[in-house]
Amino acid sequence: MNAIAKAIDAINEAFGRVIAPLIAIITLIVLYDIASRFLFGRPSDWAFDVTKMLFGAHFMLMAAYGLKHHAHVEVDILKRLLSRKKQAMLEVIGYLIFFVPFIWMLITLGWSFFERAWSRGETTYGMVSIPVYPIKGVIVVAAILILLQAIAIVLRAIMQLREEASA
Amino acid sequence: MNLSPEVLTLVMFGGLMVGLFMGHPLAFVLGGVAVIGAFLGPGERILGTLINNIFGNAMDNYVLVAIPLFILMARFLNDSGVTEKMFDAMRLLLANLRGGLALTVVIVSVLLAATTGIVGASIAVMGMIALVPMLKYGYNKELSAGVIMASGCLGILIPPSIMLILMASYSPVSVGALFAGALIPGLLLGVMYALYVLIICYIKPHYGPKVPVEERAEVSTKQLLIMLAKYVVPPMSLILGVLGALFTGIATATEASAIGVFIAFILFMIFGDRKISTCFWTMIEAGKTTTMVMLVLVGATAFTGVFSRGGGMTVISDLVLAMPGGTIGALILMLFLVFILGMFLDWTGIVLLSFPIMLPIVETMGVDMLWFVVMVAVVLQTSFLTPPFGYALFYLKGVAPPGVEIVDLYKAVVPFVALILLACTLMAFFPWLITGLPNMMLGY
Amino acid sequence: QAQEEWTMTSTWPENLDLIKIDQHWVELVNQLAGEELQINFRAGGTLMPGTEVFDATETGSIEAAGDWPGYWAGLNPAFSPLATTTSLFNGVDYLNWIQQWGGRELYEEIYGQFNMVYLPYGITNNESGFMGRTPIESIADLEGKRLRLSGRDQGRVLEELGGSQVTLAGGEVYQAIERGVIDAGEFSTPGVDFNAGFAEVADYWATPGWHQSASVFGVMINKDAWDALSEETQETLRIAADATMAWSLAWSERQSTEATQKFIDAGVTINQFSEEDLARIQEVTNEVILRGACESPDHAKVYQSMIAYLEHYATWRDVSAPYNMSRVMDNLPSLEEIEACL
Ligand code: NA
Ligand code: NA
Repeated sequence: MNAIAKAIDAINEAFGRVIAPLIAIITLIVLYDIASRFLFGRPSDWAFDVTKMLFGAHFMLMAAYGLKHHAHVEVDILKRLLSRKKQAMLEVIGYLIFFVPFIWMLITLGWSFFERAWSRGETTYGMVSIPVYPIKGVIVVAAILILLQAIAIVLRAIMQLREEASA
Repeated sequence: MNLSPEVLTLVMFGGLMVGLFMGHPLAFVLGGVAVIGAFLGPGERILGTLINNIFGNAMDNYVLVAIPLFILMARFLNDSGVTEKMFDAMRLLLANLRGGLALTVVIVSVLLAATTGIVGASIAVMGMIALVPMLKYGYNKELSAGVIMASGCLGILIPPSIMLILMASYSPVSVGALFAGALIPGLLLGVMYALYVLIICYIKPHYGPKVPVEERAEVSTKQLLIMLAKYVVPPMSLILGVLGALFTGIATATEASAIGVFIAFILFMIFGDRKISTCFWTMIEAGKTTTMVMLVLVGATAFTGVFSRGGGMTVISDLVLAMPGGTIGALILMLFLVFILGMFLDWTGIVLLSFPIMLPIVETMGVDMLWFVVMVAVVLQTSFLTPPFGYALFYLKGVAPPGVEIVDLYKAVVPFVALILLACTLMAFFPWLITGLPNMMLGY
Repeated sequence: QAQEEWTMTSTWPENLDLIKIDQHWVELVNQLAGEELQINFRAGGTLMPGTEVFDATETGSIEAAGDWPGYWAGLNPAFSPLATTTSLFNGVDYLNWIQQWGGRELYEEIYGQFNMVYLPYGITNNESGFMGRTPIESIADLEGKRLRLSGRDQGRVLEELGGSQVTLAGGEVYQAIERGVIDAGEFSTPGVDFNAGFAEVADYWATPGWHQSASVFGVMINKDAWDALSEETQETLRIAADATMAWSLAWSERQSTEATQKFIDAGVTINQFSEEDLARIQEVTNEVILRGACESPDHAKVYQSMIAYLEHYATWRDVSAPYNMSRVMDNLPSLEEIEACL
């Protein structure tokens, strides 16, 4: 179990490090858009759509990395009063009740959302046609990465419970 | 299952509370309750709209691009080391003034408010640059956190503001009139926060300690002036650069945030360690903060979608209409409902859900629409601060150093929520605080 | 038969006047077919963002949604001329074409590809044109100007004329004009534009709105929800749509008239393009229509039908001058060349 959790950690750690610099690219595109409008008098005809898409991809794909590093908002005032065993149980229950339905919805309905865009070759409708399916597919990819990280967290909680039981 | 709207409302808010206090990540609690609520209420077939909401409201939303950019700007500014030294210099400058750093936070926040209207961004920015220096100099934890959160929320009230633009598109009041109407209330709140800081620090000197005389004496006036020039001018020029780009029409509010990143990066290259690896970790940290802010929005937009579809808002409007007490009773109740909803929902959800129901009621009562909309905008300031679901609390917790707990933040907001409610009372008795400026400028 | 309940929303939020067209149709349907069908209408944005109503109707999350077809042109470019034309149709042309020259069938065909039935039920005539802080009196003034404009064909025409298309989020247009980020921008008809506060920030208004000579609105209905209705109710919905269509044309013209007066009273200077300039815009438009038609067969099919109508109708229309309806045009995009793209 520990090996699986470690492998998942490694995947998300690497992935997060690859995705994080996207924000620099977003910044550069917006600056390029401002500059081309004011210095060259010719606004870019793709920057608006590309910026928006990269923004959506950036925070969604960083979510699993954030989960690994406990970056997501949670209120632990009550949880911390409990024993480690009870905390681990609460963790497992929380993932079962709240996380499972949410991630199931993201993956299944996110997939059909992506599939509709993909099968029709949906594009943006500006001067340049940019395909929309990659950004819609991001929902599914992000959800799978988050699911993996959640599996790692739950595995560790189960290991904690076993340890306490055998001790 | 098809639960009635009343029962569904209770179940969804109940589920939210349970999940929150179990310590499960908020984004998943919101999303999970949304999915379960969809099954229990309007039915499985509406689940697709959750994806529509997540994609359309959070991912495919150009104006939100300002969030990661302002966060990155704050990180670069931080890494340049300038901000800590700026607060150092400000502290020496205001050496004889108790609470000088807290006052600095209010002033910088009001300036920032004129550049951005995105609360997640403002709080994260101020949290990153101001909280550590204040704690370092022995400021009271609650006062420090409270002043950062409360002033950080002003961004959405002081124009330009995306909230006011959205409110205008859901009411018969124009953007210009709303901008003008919200300016005085926004500045009034800023002044009230500043006065509160000065008064509380006067009464309780240990809340915002003065600089010890010996320490102040170590630095000559000339040295202080050099410090000020070196460390106060750069961050100020950053804010003025962003503001300038906005007001001269070089960039839109969203684009101005990229200019902010650019200037902050230059400051990092001048004052920081200029290492590529530092840049890389800055982007990692900015990404973590961004995904923290945005995933809450993802969950919240899913939750609000189901709540709205399940008829939750109709439950609330029936309550208003059944209320005795005439016009004044109904107004108080409506604003109170906005306050209560603010404990659970974000402002977007509240505006979208409540305006279509409340504004017709307001219109039939013959109450000034501009006044009412701005009152709602001011009351919504509390929605970021009030537990359990004050997003300012979460955003600040996300960037706060260890030792600052969510309970500290719950305590921190109390006086500021009270100040906002006091401001509302003032504006109820003196409506010209809202209508005066639009009247003068636009003949409203 | 048991009563059906539909949830319907719209691309338009509560305050955008275009929502009144949706509401008009819903009220008619609930009055006429209330026994069998009750529609719960929710303003745009309350259930999902306006950009997502197409997907939600297609999948059946909601039964129906009011729209402007142009928003879906990324799925099929044919949605663009189903929504509006650059310097081609006026409002009466759309009315004629939809009702008698095969337009309706094309809406059904294109929306049918997405498991939906479409009832066009709104027509507005010419849009305002460009409003901003910089005067635009002629094509020559467009050179180097940054204009907020939506649509691909519209952008192509503008770029040919020397201006630049700027893409902005709807909520940013007001501020972008106020601060001079753009020189001017188009949004909708005068009635809608005035309520959106444009008179507060714009000093100049360039007419006519050649970029959108007329517009069509309607309701998308999920096919399964439609099939569950009896034939009588389906017919009632169609009749309500036709009644709303006639109402909307007159209603929006009245709104535009009153709003134009308000713009004048607010001190906004109106500049009208000259006949020569409009002739030049027509030239460019004809090229752009041809180019777009040849990029997609469905796109060509719709334009073919529209221009065939204009040519056909001219037979009688020009004879009945000056008591005619529809645009009188001696310079149309070449029908033969479009048909070659089919
Ligand atoms: Na602001
Ligand atoms: Na709250």
